[in-house]
Amino acid sequence: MASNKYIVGLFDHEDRLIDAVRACKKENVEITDTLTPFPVHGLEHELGYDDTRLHTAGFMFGITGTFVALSVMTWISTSSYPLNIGGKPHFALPSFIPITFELTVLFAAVGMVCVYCIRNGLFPGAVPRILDERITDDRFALSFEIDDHTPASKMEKIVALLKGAGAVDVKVKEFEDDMDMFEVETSEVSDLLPSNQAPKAANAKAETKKVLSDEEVAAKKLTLLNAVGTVDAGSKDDLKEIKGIGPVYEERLNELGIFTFSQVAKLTVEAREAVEDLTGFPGRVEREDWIGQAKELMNR
Amino acid sequence: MSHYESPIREPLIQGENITYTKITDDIVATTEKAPPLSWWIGFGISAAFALLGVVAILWTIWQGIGTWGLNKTVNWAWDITNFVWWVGIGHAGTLISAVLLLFRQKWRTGINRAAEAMTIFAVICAGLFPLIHMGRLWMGFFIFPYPNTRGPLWVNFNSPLLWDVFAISTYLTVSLLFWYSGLMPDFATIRDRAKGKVRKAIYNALSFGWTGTARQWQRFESLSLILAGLATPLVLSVHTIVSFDFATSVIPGWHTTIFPPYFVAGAIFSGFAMVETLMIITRKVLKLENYITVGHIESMNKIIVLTGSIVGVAYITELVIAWYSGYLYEQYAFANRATGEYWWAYAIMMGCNVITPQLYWIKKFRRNIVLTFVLSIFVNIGMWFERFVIIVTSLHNDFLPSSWLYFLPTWVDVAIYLGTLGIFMTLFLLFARAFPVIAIAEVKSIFSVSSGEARRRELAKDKGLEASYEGSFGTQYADGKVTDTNNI
Repeated sequence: MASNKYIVGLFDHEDRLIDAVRACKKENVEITDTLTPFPVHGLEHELGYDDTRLHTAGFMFGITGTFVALSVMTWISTSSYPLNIGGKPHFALPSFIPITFELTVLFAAVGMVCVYCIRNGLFPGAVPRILDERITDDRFALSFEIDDHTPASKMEKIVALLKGAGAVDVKVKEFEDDMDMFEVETSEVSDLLPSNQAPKAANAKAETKKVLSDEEVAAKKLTLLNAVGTVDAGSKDDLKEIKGIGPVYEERLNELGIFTFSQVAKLTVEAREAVEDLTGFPGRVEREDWIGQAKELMNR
Repeated sequence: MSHYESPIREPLIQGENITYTKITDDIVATTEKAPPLSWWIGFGISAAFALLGVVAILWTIWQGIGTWGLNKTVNWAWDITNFVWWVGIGHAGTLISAVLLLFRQKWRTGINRAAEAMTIFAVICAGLFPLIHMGRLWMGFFIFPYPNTRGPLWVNFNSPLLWDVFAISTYLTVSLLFWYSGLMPDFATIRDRAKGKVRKAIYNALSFGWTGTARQWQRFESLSLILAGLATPLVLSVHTIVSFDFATSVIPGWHTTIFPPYFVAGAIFSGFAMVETLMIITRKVLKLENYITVGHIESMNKIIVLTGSIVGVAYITELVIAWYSGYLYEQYAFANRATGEYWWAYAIMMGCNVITPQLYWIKKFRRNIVLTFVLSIFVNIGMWFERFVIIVTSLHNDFLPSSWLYFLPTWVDVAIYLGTLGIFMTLFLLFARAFPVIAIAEVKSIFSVSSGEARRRELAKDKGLEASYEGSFGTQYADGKVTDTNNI
């Protein structure tokens, strides 16, 4: 995994996903991954995947089972432990057939499932990169790996493609190398919307800050603190409990003087705008209902 | 994967406003909500029976199998009857998953998960009997061929009892793998909905970190198909080998070539009956009527009437062949079976297995849930008696009239049998509580291509829009070629 950052487009129907895949193919945009809640037939053809060789592996394991069963039984019955059963031949092929068959199936099945798990990276305790929690429910996702060197024009193209194909949501998801699964949920999800601003959006944090002059920043901070009031940093709540706020974002809020749920709950329209301008994430407070969440967390 | 879906076929998923999310909600809800009172009552009763069984098994191990009703004439009775009965029940799950998958029977998706679970639990119950029948359970590993310091003394590869060891253990392993590989994506669904950290961690571990990439699904489909291809001959081999336990002996009434197909048909018959018994309760208690529909029950009843009739033909064939053989002992064995001291068991067997399922030739009865439930219990009883009749009537009047005996079970026999029922139900109830009882991903995939399609067609018909809706949904793929009918 070269990069930890993905542009993710979410669709609400498999047909739209396939449209998007075709559009990407046409525009020569490389798709990193396609994630669906169930197997979408024909998708692998669209993505140009080769046939899986799992069946070949299954055959090899199966034939190994056949060979092991026949040779071990033959060796035991004719050499290691030749038992006279009613004068019948020691090498009694017909009565070796049932066990040979069973072991063929057993070897093939066990071997194939092992290969399947290894190739798919499946094992108990695996930490998956969950791009969106609704992918296992009703969302069909396309992901595109990006990094700091990805040209803005490419990102713009991807976003435009996704939106054009009818994506219900387009976002950036970032993972940290040492994070466990639980942090994934609250990780950095910056929005690329609106799409005409797309190329800049990926670098939104930096750029938005640059655009604001120092006086403006000070004014906004003042508006914000007037609305939410100031508290002592010692009485700090774990803002990460609000769905949508990650460790990075929490730190940024703390820098602005927001430490508690009660402060978040008090965000007025103006204060909300100030927060979003200062942090560079437009529309999130409302969309993820931070205020509602904060009120709920306060009343716990 | 091109197929023709008859427009007359009823949708496999019923109910209003079905969406992918609703499917997830409905099925996962059973693992998220506190179980209803009926679950606790059922669990309490099952656990009590399981405990009784454990006590009886421990008593058997402590005292020896002299605690059973066996004697020198009837040296095999309830233990092997129960074993064969449970193995038979364990046939439906893999049959539903594997054979119906190969035949592209989409109705299997509503019931395959629970049926596979049932298979595994039934095979576990079955496996108990040979183990405790050994008397010295702690030497159970002697049945496996492994290099040892006893000579080396190897097992007898010509014995059907050894074939059974391989058949049952392979069957259990493959069924478990098949079942679990299908469960991984659904565990991931539960994980992604989970609220608490612990719950999320548990279901993530169970899902093996499934994410649902196109590669994963591609391999998933390939794996399912090949495992189905392997499991199909396997499921037929298992009861064939179980029937060899009898057919390769020289006891009148056992030594017949009809046994393998007859046993396999009987196993499918009893397996489907048990699936029906459980599914009818499950759909009611867990409110899954929209997924396990009357259509599903009707399809299962069709299989019941088919396999029940095969079993009936086998019973009659046996009688005719016994008469035709001109062999005194064979003729006596069958005359004694039908009219001897155990005539009542034979009558129950005939009545429950051959006569009552014939009601299913009538569509109204096939779709009647109460009747299906009652008849499925009848089949369970009838199939138990089939094994009892075959085993005990062939033994109790043996070649020497001075040793003829009437077999009666002891409390230990009965308690172990009831105990396995308890263990089975306890495991099933735990499964229904913590696992997705319906294959979520598979139901969604048939919803998108089958039920959704039928529903849209129906809706279109209602609105008089048939023509405009024709071919405007779905994207069909044949041989990798893509025909786009969906220009949004």
